[in-house]
Amino acid sequence: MIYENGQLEDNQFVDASKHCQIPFPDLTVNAAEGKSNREYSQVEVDALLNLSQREWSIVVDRLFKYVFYKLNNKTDFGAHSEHNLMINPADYYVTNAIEKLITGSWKWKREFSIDEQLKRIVNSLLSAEIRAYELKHENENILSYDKNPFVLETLIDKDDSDLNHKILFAAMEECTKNDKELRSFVRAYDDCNTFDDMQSKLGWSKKKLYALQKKLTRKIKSYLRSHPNKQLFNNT
Amino acid sequence: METKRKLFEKFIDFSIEASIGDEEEMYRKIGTTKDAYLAKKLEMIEKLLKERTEITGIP
Repeated sequence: MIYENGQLEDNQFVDASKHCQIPFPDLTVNAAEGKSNREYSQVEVDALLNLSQREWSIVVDRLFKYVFYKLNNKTDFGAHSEHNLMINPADYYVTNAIEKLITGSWKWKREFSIDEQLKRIVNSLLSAEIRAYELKHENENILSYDKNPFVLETLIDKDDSDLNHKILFAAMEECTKNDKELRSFVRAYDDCNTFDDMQSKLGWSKKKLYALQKKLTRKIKSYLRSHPNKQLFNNT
Repeated sequence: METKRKLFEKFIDFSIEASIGDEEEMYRKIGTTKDAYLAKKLEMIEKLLKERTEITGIP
């Protein structure tokens, strides 16, 4: 997992928090000046401190899954590889996002939950890492997963854009219009926040629901791949 | 637009859950278990929150 004397150690978990600690840059200055920190007000600090250990566990688990999903097939080489980051990529992004959020080195937007803040930080870190990697290797003819991402991955990478939400919505409509079962599945999105909710609403097994979600993702990927960006944007 | 944003988030959350399936396997891939990983992160969070309180005086 980590390099020691040039050797790669396998099957050993190395905690990223030991390697990528972010300092508290502004807060010390603020405290010395007798001010509370400028980055966060009491509202944000309360939001962080009021989470119980159980709630933090849920937040971290959800974040880890989000990062793991986003890094799928992107860690063998390139910006998000263990070779480049020198630490397990999923843990690197999870740890950095949490540190950025708590230390105040992130612009908190109150309309987003802590879950959403962390996902936004991860997206920003992923983009920054790609930019840094490309800059570092600009004169090399490198093969990279990051150069030609699928359209869906691009949408997910920038998931805070209204236009991307519209594109996904339009793709979903198109991909389910001739599939009655998939249509019912997507309609259940409106009332359900979890697969357990869906199970109760539709009376289908979780296995079937997972299969439908995968089918939906496949169809949307295929639809987005077969439509040039321009056409997608014009249709929204 | 808020509705479309929520739909987008649900789509990603559901895609994650459907594709991961066995979550312990996901943690095993980085050489740990879910419980051990979460315990380490909770320890880190507690330390960061304590440092933050000491530095800022909040609360």
